[in-house]
Amino acid sequence: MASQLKVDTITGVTTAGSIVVTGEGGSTTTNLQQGLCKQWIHFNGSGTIAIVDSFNTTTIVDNGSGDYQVTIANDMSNDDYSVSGTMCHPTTGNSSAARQGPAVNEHAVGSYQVYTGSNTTTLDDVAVINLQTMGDLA
Amino acid sequence: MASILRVDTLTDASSNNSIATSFVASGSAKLWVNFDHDGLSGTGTTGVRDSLNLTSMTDNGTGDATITIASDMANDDYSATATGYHPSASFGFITSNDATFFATGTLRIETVEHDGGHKETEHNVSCVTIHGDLA
Repeated sequence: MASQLKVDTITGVTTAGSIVVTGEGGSTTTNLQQGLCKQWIHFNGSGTIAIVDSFNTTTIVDNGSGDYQVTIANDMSNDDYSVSGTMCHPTTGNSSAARQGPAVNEHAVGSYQVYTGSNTTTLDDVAVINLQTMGDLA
Repeated sequence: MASILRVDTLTDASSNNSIATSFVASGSAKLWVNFDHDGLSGTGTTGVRDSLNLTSMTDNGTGDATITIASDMANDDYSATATGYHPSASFGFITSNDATFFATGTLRIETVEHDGGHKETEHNVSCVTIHGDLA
């Protein structure tokens, strides 16, 4: 019979933040808290930049061509977190304008810097950028 | 004492924000890592900054590294996303440009920068996340 748990907060018994979830194959487990994405964003990076959708994101700032800053709403606990992502240029169809990146640097607890480049060695805007942040919340 | 909760769906106390536990398990990242390739190759000291479900990282040469997964994936069909940063280029990218790079217990990656063509280089900040099925 299908079951439903109604709850606002889940806390581990042994360690408050450690809740184990059984893997899909049933033979291994993973830590739920560590596996949750702590911030994600989909934004338009050319012209007037704009957030399309996001989670735990305050703002994005356009620092110049191919240079963006993402501000995290609820901060990370340190600057060792992982940010992965993809990008696309232009917005539709097979890209005829090759681009590089996204590259992420200057990790801070409340923000990180994103760079995208043209198919040379210069920074350049791209149409669509998707990023996800994994790590420890403050 | 450790306890196990067997449930199909989670919702908040107001019955909003419902999600099937299958989405919780499948939607959770199974590995992530933030690392400095220079630390892997011995030319720097940082190496792996932080990670989940990582046993080790191996330097295979310039811009070429293998991630060893602690609890294996169920198959080699998983998804890996990444970002890479190299100061002289300001940006770069990470590839796994061969199907054999994906294995249940390892993922081989190549970090690349543009220098008029493309060359493998050692990024100062590389991040990789894996989603898929655990074994």
